Order: sequence, then C-alpha cells, then structure tokens
Amino acid sequence: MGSANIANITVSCVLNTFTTGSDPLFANQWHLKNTGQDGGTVGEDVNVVPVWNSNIMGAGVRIAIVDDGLEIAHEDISPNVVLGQSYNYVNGTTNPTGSDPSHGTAVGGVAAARDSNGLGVAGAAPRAGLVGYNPLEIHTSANEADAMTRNAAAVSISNNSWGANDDTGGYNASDATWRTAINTGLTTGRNGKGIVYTWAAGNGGEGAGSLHVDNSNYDGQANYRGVLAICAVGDDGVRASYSERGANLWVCTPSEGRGGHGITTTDRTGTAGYNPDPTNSGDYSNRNYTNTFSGTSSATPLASGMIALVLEANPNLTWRDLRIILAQSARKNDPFDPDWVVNGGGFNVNHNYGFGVANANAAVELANPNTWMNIGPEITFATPTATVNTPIPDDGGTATSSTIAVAGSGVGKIESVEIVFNTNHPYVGDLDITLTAPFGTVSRLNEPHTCGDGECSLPGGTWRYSSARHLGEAANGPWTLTVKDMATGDTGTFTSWQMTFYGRAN
Amino acid sequence: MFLKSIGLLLLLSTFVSGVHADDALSKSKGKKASTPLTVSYRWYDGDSEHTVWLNPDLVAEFSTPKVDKSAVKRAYPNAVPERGSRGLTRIWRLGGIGASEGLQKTRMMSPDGMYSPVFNDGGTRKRALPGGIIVYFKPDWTASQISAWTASQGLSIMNKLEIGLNIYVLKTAPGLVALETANRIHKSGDVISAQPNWWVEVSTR
Repeated sequence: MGSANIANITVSCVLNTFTTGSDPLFANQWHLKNTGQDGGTVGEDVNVVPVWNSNIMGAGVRIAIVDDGLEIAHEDISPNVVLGQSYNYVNGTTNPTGSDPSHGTAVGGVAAARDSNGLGVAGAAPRAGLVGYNPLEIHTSANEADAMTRNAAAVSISNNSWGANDDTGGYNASDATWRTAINTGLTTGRNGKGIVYTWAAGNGGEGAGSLHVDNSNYDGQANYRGVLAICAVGDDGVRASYSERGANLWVCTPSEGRGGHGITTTDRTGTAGYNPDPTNSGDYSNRNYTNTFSGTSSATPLASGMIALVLEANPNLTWRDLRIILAQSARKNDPFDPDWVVNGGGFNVNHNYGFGVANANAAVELANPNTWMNIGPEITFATPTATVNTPIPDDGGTATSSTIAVAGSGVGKIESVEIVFNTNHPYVGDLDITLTAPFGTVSRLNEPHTCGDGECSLPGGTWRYSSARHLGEAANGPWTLTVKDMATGDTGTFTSWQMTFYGRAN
Repeated sequence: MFLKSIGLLLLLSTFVSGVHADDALSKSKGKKASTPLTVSYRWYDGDSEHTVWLNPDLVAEFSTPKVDKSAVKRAYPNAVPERGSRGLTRIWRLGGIGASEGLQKTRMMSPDGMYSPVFNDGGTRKRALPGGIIVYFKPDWTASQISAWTASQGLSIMNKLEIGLNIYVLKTAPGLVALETANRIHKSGDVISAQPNWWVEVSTR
C-alpha cells in the first residue's frame, strides 16, 4: 500500500511536466491517457505520457503514412511533415494530399500530430517526422511495392491502415512483388536495420454490419512475417468486436470498442473529411478534428507512434529486436479471457490480442540501449513438404492430422512460423485447422466461417498461414496440423503441408 | 447486424455442442455469385501461376476523379459505380450491357481514356489492368542490355522499382493486352518473370 502511494505521488508530479495541456483536445484522447473519460477504464491506453516526460517524443524518427493521402498542410500535421519527402502517385509531386485524404489525415494525426502548439490534438509520437504516400489513389502492384520502399534509408516505420476488403471471409493472397518489396525494406531499409511495417489486422470480426467473420490470417498481407498485425481494443481493454482474431496478431492498441468512444484525431481542414458538419453529429465544432475515427485503421498508427518512441530511445534496434520488445513489454489486457496461454517462450499470447496491449513506457524501458542487446542473426529453416492425401471426414468433428518431426533446424527461439496448407476442399470456411507445437502451444489457423458470394476456396488450392504464437519456442520436435470439417455438404482432401521457421539460435 | 448475429449464434451453438456444425454452417453459407464467371485467364506471380475470372458485367475506368467527367458515364448514363471504386479508379456496372460491348463503345467515344475489363481473382478482390507490366530481369543484365531488350519487344521503360535488382515497369496499353504481353514475356525465357501491373481492390480499415 505504501509503495503504491509513493508511485501515485511520483506520477502526479511528473504529469505536470508535459505540455500537451496546450493541445485543447488532448483531454479527449483517451487512447493516449485514459482517465476514465466517458466511462472508460482508467489506464487502458498505450502509456505514452511517462515516455514524453522523459523527453522522448519521436524526434528523428520518420513515419510513412501509406494511405489514400495525407493533408500535409493541416495545421496540426504540417509542423511534423518532412518537406519534399512525400510522394503523390497520381501526379508525381511531393504533395500527397490527393483527391480525398480523409483517412490518411486521420491516421497521420493518431501517429504524429504536433503537441504543445495550442492546436487540436497530439499524436503518440508528437515530434516524429511524417511523410505521406498515396498509392491507394491508384492501387497498382507497382505503386504498392514502391510505397513499401520509397526513401527506405530514411523511413523508420511504414504505417498501413488498409488491406483487402473485410467482412468477406475470403482468402486474399499477397502478390510476390509486394513481398519482394517488404523483404527489401526489411533487409536494406533504415540502413540495414529494417523498416518496421505496421499493418491493420482487419475489421472483419463480428462487428455491426458485418456479414462474414474474417480472421486476420486470411489476409496475405496482414499475416506476412515481415509486418506487425495490429488489433484493436476499446477503452475498457476488451477486443473491439470488429477486430479480427488471428494467430498472426502481434499487439493491440486502443480504438473505438464496445463503449462506442471513437478516437480524437486530425480531420481534413474545413468541411471535408469525417467532420463536415458538427451541428447534429456530436463531433467537434472545430472541423479540423474529429472524435469519430475508429477501426484497426486507428489502432495501427497508434502502434506506429509508440514504436517511434522506442526507436528514438534506441535507434540501433533492428526490426526483429523491435518486435520482440513489443511482445515482451505488452500488457496482458482482459486478463480473464479464456484464450490466454503462456507459450514455451514464456510469453502470454491470445488469439484475440496477440501478446496484449502495447505499452510504450515499458517498451522504451526495455529498449534502453544500456541494457538491451540486439538479438543474433536470423535463421530460416524450411521443412520438406509432407504429403498427406487424406480425405477430411465431412462429419463435423473427426480430425485428420499430420505430424512433421523437425530436427536439426538450428532455431532455438522462433520469431515466426509460416504454414503452407494445401487442399482441394471447395469451401475452406468449413474447416477448423490448428497447429500444435512440440511445447503444446496451439495456433488456431482457420475457423469455421462463411464467405461472401459463396466463394470460399483457397486460391490455387494453397494458403500460407502464419503464427506469432510460438515466439521464443524451439523449432525442433513434432508439429501436428489437425484439420476438421465442421459442415456437411462440401468435401475435400488434406493434400499436403509445409512449415518454415524464422528465428535465431538462442 | 441481425443476420450476422444469427450466424454467430449458429456457429457458437456448434462449438458448445461440440458436434455437427453442419446444418448451422451450411445454411448460412453465402450464395454463389449471381453471374457465373466462366472465362478465365492465367497470369504469373513470380514462380506461381494464378487464375483470374473475367467479370462480364463490369468495366474499370482509370484517372477519372469526377464522375461527371467519366467517359463510361457519358456512354452509359445508367452505369453505377461498383464496390471497389476508390481514388482515381472507377468500377462500373453498366446495367444490362456486357462489359465487352461497353468497353468497345466507350473506347470509340473516348479513345484517350484508360479502360479495362474487370476480373475476380479467386479471393474476394477485383483486379483490372490499367496498363504496364512488371518484369524481373536477370540480375547480371546491365541497364543498356535491359533497354535494348525492351526496345526489341516494341516496349518502353516506365520506371525501375527499387525493390531488388533489375525490376522494371514497362509501358503497355491498358486492358487485356497488358496481361497477354506479360504472359508472352514470362514464357519467353528471356527474363526471370513478368506479371501485369494489376490494379487491385483494397479498402481502408
């Protein structure tokens, strides 16, 4: 009790030192400092204020907002814009505002709106540099790839609050050119330390208006090993209903949840954007801001901003170090959720939350360059393809399993696992697919669900799932893939599967 | 919301009982697309071969930020924008007019515009061909070799992608010619791979 009191006194003193009090809407930014505004739970935020008070606000770290555009002239964004470094894919200029940058402008504000300027809001990293790339204006393979690596030496974080359509239940693979671009950004970006890619996990959970439940693992971009899939919790710390589950999730951050409290951020200047007429909407009278932003779109730049704080604290972190720091420092939210397990690496992990809610202060402390030692080189180990060729019983319960015994991998600590599953089943939404590790940790890769337009097969009969849930476990040992067909009618064969492990020796 | 809740209840009841999700899931499966997609095309994504299906009801129009400036809309006043329209890309449902006929008429009326048939890609996304192909040249080719080879194919370089060695975007006309050109070059054996510079449907989240 005594210690708690001392801690409270300390916090109170420190709070007086930061100056966001001059940002008139900061008090409403519960995702940064949750004081229980509008009934939220005190402390359900990303805990950035103690970091700011240690004078770490993202300075020197550049965040690329890859989106529909970014209003770089916005009063609360422009102070952080790195002039001449943005790109417009329509006209080739360095002004990425584009035809309708509503989404990107809201995203940019969550990440890095300027603090202490007497205007609007603060971003999670209020002194980070911002650039905008607008490939969504004309979303071609070439533009998409270019946006992943543009100015790669200078970009620390690439924020991607977009992806394949949600609420479809379908399987949308990433293109090889996009994966090539990501791999290039990881290996050569940030002078070899790797760009950190944040990716919205998806809004296809069972939210209002959705018809088919998505899992983030059905999205070939959000489930790629080179990106961080970011999920969303509400101001009560509980999964936002739209936020997709997935074995690939890394961390969540706050966004609008079941309390219905949106995120306060920047909006297009004037009458455009999400706050065109506040008269009856309950939004701010100052139309340059909105309190309605939401989704994993909003959760993602919040993660990007807090990552910028970590990278300012320790610029020498590689993208792989950063991922481990995020996982290790995340807070176990919604602690009574039955999905929480402790994996063989000692990490709390949950299909709804990944490793939990990102905690900026804990991450910055962990990243302290005086104590953090960068992890060793990456090791990759690919198993041979296991041929199965077994019909999957169409009875809603009988399992078909296959085990791959991994030996001599050299991977003592897994960082991610890819699982390629092959089947001719015409409706993969029927299938419940789980991967069981040697330690016993289970990754649920596919959940029974429906798909839009009845199209629910795997493209080309193959799919690459991924799992973050085995972080820190050893690769060697028996891995079992179990497949059940939970709906009668459509039938198919479990043809084959294969795994690739990414990690390090120890 | 209501429909989704019903579906969830059905799925939940399945897990609770632990047996035979069958009826619940089967009855809530979506219907097949109303228009059968029978015409397919192959394309190459690096080492992988993929199939797309031509959607006979839709056409794509590029670089038309304002609907009232749309050539498609001028040709077909009853055309309605379809899901997937974003930024400078419009996907149009022509309403009783086939895409092939629609593209032909639109091209005749406004030959300078950029139009493409629309494809479904086996996932849930639409794809279209705004023009251009992405070619992975062999890493030991010099820039002058690449330029010479490109010219020999009657093509020109748009730009180089800085995502690896010798990955270039070459210029083609929009539409099926881009797909056919990419496939021809891919199969030629002269290069590592070639693919169309697809427009791909995405959403903000």
